[in-house]
Amino acid sequence: MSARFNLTLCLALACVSAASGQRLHPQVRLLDAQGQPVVQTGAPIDTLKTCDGCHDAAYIQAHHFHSQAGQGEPTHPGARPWDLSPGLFGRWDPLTYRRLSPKDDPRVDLTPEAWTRQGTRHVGGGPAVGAQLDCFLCHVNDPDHEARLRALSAGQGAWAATATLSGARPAFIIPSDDPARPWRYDPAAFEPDGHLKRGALNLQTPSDKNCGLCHGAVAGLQDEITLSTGIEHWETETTGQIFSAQRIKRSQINIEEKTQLGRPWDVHSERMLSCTSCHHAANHPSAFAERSETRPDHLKHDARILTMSQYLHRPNHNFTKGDSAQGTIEESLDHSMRRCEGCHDANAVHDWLPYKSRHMQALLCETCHIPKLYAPARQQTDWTLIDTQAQPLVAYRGLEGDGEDRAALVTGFHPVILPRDGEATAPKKLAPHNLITSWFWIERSGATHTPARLVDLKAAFLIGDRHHPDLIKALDTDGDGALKGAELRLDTADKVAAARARLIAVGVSDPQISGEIQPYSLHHGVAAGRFVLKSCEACHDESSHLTRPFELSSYVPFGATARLVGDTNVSLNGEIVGEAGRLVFKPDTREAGHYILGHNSTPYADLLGLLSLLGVLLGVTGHGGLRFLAARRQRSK
Amino acid sequence: MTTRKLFLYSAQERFWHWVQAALIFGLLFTGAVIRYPSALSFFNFEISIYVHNVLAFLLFAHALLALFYFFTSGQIKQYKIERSGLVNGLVKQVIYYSYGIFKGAVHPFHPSEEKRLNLLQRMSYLFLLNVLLPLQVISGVLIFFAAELSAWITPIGGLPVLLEVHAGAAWIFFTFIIMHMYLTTTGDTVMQHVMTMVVGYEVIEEKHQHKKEEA
Repeated sequence: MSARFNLTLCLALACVSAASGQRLHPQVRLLDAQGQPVVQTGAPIDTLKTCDGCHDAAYIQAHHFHSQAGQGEPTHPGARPWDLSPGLFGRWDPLTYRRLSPKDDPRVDLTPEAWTRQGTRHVGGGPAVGAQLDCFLCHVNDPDHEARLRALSAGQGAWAATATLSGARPAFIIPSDDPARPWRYDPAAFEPDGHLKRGALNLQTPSDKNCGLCHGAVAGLQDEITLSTGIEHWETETTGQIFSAQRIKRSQINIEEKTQLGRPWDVHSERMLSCTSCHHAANHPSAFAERSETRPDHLKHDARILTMSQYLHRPNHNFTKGDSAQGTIEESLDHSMRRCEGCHDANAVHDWLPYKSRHMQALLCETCHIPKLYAPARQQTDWTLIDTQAQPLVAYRGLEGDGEDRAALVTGFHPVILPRDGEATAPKKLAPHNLITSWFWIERSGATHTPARLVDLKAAFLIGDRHHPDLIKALDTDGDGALKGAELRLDTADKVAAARARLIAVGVSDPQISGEIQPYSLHHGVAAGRFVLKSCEACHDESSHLTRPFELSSYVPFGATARLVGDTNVSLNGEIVGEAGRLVFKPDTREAGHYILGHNSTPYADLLGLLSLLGVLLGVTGHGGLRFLAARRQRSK
Repeated sequence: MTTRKLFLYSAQERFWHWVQAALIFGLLFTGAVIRYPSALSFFNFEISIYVHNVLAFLLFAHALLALFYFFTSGQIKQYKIERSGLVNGLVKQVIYYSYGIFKGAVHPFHPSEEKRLNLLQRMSYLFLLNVLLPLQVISGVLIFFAAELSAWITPIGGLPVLLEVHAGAAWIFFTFIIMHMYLTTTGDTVMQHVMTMVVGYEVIEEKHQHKKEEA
């Protein structure tokens, strides 16, 4: 009776709320750091003070890996020597390039303050200096991410969360000309006691769009999906994944043979799943399931789950996660998420597939269910020279033309299949990935190796908005007095020497070009039905999908080599070869411990078999011939 | 000159032989498609897998039934190799096939209803049915249940080893069949032995037979 009553009440509240265009969350008082309503003080919003009345904000900020960003976590074995943590705060990334410097670094690149100003992909709090955990970034339906980034960039971290709320419509946070108070509050949106009026702020559980602000392109059914390259669309940039229920053929991207692509960008999105369906709070009552590592063997299900009020007071913000190649942060949470098998019974639907168990043992579901990506992904980043905007040379796979050109033809790309560690099975399961190769200068001082700082690259290679004359002299092949396009490649010894001399001239110690390959595993952009890889011959053939050569870099800086980044969960089984100036990875499934019927075979059995067959054929032919001759001779006698 | 029929193979044995031959040919062909799908792309890989598995289980069942038949009918004695006269018999056969056959000599072995297989045949079949066939069956079953039996097959090298052993044994089967087919042509006429396996008997010319015995 009580449960039925509660359910009815919840439904009624939901209906009333939906009808009035409001969420279930009660209206809040926006408070400043002193706990006073901001509408009265005009001070920036303090998220901890504002939310703390109902939620344990201090707890949320303290344990939250999105906020802590790896601070205090040790690096993994194989990490770069200059990495300070496995997270955004300390793990160098060649795509963003800037490096967080340790306290005693004599050649500082990024201080924590400068790191905070960069802002991108960090929710505040944790190691951020002067920028609180920004609850609004994930919990309002119309955050202004750009305004937040501008505030951070301007060193106004205290105003970052306030800036985020400036996206609310109708607007109640309005830009101001006062540099000390860049935002002001519209009193008309507030009740006399400081509470926001109904409808002013839609607080909610995070939507896909909230996640997409930092994680990549997501789109609702009515949103326009356009070609968008750049690290602000992180997952899309690194993997080509777009999380949307829209049919690919309906997008605004110029995709090759688009009319054939009647599938959604991601089937899970089409089936109404959102990011939080899988990446939910670890203690969410409706999704909680104790991990097998900690669950007593005799217990199938622990019924002692939190009540909703307990959960809402202290929602665990360490969201469940898988074990991606690129995700090195908070390893303790790896595999806490339900993977495909957690929801789907593959055995119930793969009747056409022979040797089901064997295939499931050898492959992650994604290998067949993400056969191709239809947005371009980063292939290479070359920081050995920068353009006049101080940007690296970037190339994409699956794209013909310029990433900035919305009409550029997107051909899409087939991911490379790599064996992934961390599975209990042997051999390791094969999974689809993108590989991004980065070229950059390493500064060497004694035993210390660090990437050359961006400030030094600028000083060495640029004078104002032009390249340094020494570089122009060495690299300007068309003689137009400027360097652009392929001229910015250090593909000969002379060009490398010229760039190296410039770096030494600005104080970079013993610069050497280094190359790194970063794997990005693919788990979104999932297809179903006829868009799935189903043909046996796709893998069980000489030209197997599993060993398709994968271009790592369209050119190689002279004398440079590239190695797989050390702290990842995949290995490059196969060989990296130079082909016509390109760098290509040729996977070898045998080396990875997989024997693919119809693709792999050792020559020994066939060689011995052929030799014995040849011997027998020669024997019977010779013997038969002699018999024939003997019979003729006898007949003639 | 009179003739008589020497009955060598019962209907059950002939049926066993030809069914086994068909199954082995089918297995060799589909096995080749599975191993070399690019070279034999005119035949469907997926269908080949199914057909190969079905044929393999049919061959296994067929072999079990044959074993039952040979034991219960007493015909298993046809495959028995006696130690006495082993070397002498082998030498005679080697001399016959390497020399006498070209001179029109009479085969040193004369089949009878009680003893229809010569020494080389018995040794070949013994190897084929007791070594090669079980090797194929065991490796095939382990490959078929590779996922379920991974704990068993991993210590012996896993699928890479099993599949190469299976392929190697298939090559030996293929080689044997070529040799076997050639040797069927070494009767009095090219088709004599094949016809015997079709109709079950050889037609013996009594006079000729006497001559052979005198020789």
